[in-house]
Amino acid sequence: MLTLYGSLRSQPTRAVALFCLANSIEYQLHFIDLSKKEHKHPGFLAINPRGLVPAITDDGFNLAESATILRYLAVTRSVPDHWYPADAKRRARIDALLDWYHTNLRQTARYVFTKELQETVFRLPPAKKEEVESYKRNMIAAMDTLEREFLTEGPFLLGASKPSIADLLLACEVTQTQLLKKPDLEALLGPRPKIRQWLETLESNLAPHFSTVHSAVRKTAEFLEKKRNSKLQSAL
Amino acid sequence: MTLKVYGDLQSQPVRAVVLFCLVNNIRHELVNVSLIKNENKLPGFKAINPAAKMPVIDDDGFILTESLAILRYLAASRHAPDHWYPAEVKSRARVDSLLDSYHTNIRQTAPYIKQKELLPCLWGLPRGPDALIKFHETNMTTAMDLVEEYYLKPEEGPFLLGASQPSLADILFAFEYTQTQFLPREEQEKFLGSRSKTKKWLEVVEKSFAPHFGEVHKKFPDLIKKIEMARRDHVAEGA
Repeated sequence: MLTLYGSLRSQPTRAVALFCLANSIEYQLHFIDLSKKEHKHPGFLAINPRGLVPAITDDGFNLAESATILRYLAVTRSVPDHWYPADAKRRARIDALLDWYHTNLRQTARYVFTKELQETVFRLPPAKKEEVESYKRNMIAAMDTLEREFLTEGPFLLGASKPSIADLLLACEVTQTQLLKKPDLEALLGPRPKIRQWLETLESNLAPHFSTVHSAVRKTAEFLEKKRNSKLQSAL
Repeated sequence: MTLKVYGDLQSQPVRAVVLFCLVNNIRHELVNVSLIKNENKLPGFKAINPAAKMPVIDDDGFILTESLAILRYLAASRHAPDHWYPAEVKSRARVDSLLDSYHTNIRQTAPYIKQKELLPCLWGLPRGPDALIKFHETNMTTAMDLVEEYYLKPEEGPFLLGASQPSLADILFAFEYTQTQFLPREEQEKFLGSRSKTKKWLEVVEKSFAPHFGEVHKKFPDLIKKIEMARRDHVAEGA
């Protein structure tokens, strides 16, 4: 049995869950509560000494790193070629995009976390303003590159006609921006029609699974909105 | 058409790609793109890679960025010996996991050294903010601890993951460590002194890839001299 350790609030965990659902790969989600620091407990560290989610255990084989997990599942479950093409050049382009994601688009995670989750959900001291601004700049630069370079031809990344593992990993990162205040979200995605179209295409192409894996982040978005409104109410 | 590798041997991932080519007898041409002269920001290079990052390869018209993707591609397309990037799915997954962790871990060596030493000593620019340097240092030492305590298993084999032969991870990681030669000696000792397994592994890597290992580091003596002179000047100015 495949066990997926993580939380659907974690973008890369979502991507792996979505891949499993889209390919009818049976798995069990072992919830790791990040807000309770369960990812640093000895039990989980035995699976992934880096203490990061997602991680999987596949019949006793432990593996960490979302892009690696996606590659491994694509190969071992013999999924359709478009997920991770066997052709060396097409595969190399997806690999390059996955690398780019780590050092660029993943800054979205830091921005959303420090701006909306760090204090409210994780009850940590607030991040410094310069730090948050720096993540925001990096995130915007990455979104621009995504909009102008990687989605020039559609409907999927790199002009592919069917999705790859890169589409899942990158899309689940972008969807984390649902946790931002509505005006901030509008400012970010409003002027980026290709990204918006790409997300809609993925949602319909992978229905109902895309929506299913996003239920946790939707709930968190609603919770944050309620908190913001009640803060506003008490300020009035 | 000969494979073109665009980059500067001052850059760790460029060294990794060039070494891989040398060790595997892959005919290639290194097109020098000087970092000190900011040649990566020039329109000619940006036309090849708009992100202005290196290395980039041009394989008979096929342009590819990102060192890990390049190494995986060359391993596959040039049919390099299996140990570099094993075909067996679990062995490959273990190497992939290590390679993916590189970006946010051992690669922190790069911004740490750049912000602290290279910006002021090679580019004549102000040193990075203390908080940022500290942030990178913390990530770098965490990564080095993980390599020393978890990824090196000399009782199984001399290379990363206890392998008996090197993988792509060995060259990519090793070059982040050799970059510490740009730090003052006391600092190098601070990072490597107590990490005995790491020191042994670096010796094995250097020996395994001689003379190519030395060749890709050929810019080091001059760069180190330049950095040490700049350090002395800064101290003199401060006195």
